[in-house]
Amino acid sequence: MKGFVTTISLAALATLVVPAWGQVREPPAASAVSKLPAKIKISKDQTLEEIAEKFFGDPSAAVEIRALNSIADGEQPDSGAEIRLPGQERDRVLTALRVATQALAQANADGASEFAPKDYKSAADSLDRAKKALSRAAYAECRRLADETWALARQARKASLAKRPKKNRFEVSVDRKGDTRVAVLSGDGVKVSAGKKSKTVKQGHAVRVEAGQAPSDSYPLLDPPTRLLPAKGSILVTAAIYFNWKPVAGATRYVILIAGDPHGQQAIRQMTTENTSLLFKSSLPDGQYYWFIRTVDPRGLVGRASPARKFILRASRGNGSNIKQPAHEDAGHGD
Amino acid sequence: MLLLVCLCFLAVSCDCNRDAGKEQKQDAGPGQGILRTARIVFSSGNVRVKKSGSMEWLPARRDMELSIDDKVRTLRDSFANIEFESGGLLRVGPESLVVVTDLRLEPVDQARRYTFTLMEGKVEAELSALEKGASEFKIRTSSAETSLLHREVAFQ
Repeated sequence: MKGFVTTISLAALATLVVPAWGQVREPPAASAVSKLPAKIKISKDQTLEEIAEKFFGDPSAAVEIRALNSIADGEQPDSGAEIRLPGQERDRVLTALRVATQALAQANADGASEFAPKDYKSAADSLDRAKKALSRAAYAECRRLADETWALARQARKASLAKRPKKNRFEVSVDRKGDTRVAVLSGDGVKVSAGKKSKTVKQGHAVRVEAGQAPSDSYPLLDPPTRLLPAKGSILVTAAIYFNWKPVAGATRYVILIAGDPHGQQAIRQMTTENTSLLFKSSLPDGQYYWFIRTVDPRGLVGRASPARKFILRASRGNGSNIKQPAHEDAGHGD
Repeated sequence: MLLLVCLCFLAVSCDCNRDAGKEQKQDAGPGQGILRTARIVFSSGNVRVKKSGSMEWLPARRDMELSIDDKVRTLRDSFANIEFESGGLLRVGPESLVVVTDLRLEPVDQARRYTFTLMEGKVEAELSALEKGASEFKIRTSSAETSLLHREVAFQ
């Protein structure tokens, strides 16, 4: 139990929110947002950028403050002047914008820019308009456009998945005893022949062949686990990476793969555990990585992989403090 | 006389063996299509390649060409991706040994015949649907042969 508590706190230490548009930034705590004054007086030599940093943790929010107070680009108000600050709705708008950006990135990862270019462009244009609305401090409009972007991006992704050629993916493994396992992850299926007998294996199913025997009957593969940590887009500032997931009924083991790309083609590290968490003492260089998890059933068959989860490793720069855990990804918009 | 009979018998049995070899070769395919190559497009960790006819295990490098009978070995925590024509990919997992068994293109019907033998470990194949009727993609192990099924065409 003590170990569990230790690893949980390590997980909390190891993750940080990544805003949708790429910069590493920590959002202000909810309590800080609720205490935001509606107006403030500018003190001597104070800039809007400093105010934006102080209240929103983001100097670029000065653009919005200028828009709210009709101050021209690059100009600073006189000391003693009273200016309006964005209200609590800004935080909700940023969340909507982040979710929309992630949906667009997901659509792109699923080939929408290639296979559903019109739908994808509509979503990308909508996101641009949402960002422009944010810079004008038009929060209601920004939120509406962010929601519209999210819906368009999902539509583009769906259209892309329907149109793009469906790849065949299947796995074959052989152990030291000579037993073969075949699992079909997607596509048209395979025929497995052994001992003058054949079995057809369809998508999402698997067979096992013991050395010198005919193939077993095919049976369904286990689904990948859910409720995954680190969540999508986490920034990890310690070299010890804590992976955690919800157990899957029937799974005897779990396999975690860390790769350098979202398709898992540039595999870097593979780890197996019987538990529903794993503390990986990483020696990986700082950078961007993706991780996947799969279940292993009692027959030793590996199930389908979870969707790719991106994380950014900044172990060399992290000090393990001042870190926030992002909202759990499964709690947000899902398929 | 006895020596002559023995020599005749030996000559006949040699011919038989040669025929048997031909049958095996026909089954395996050489001579029935244009030999193609695959290439290593990614490797991570300790990945070695043994070229056909060589005794040496060379370190794998990007764009290294693979031909029939070449072997690819991955050690612990090591991975390799082998790309073959038509954009197909074979991902080789850690502690695996793969032999390129057949890589051919039929000049007449453009059918592709690819076979890899997995001696140990794990591979994941990712490829488009088999378009030409005679095309085939197989992975062999010591206990089974796995062949990709052709896509069923639905008429509406």
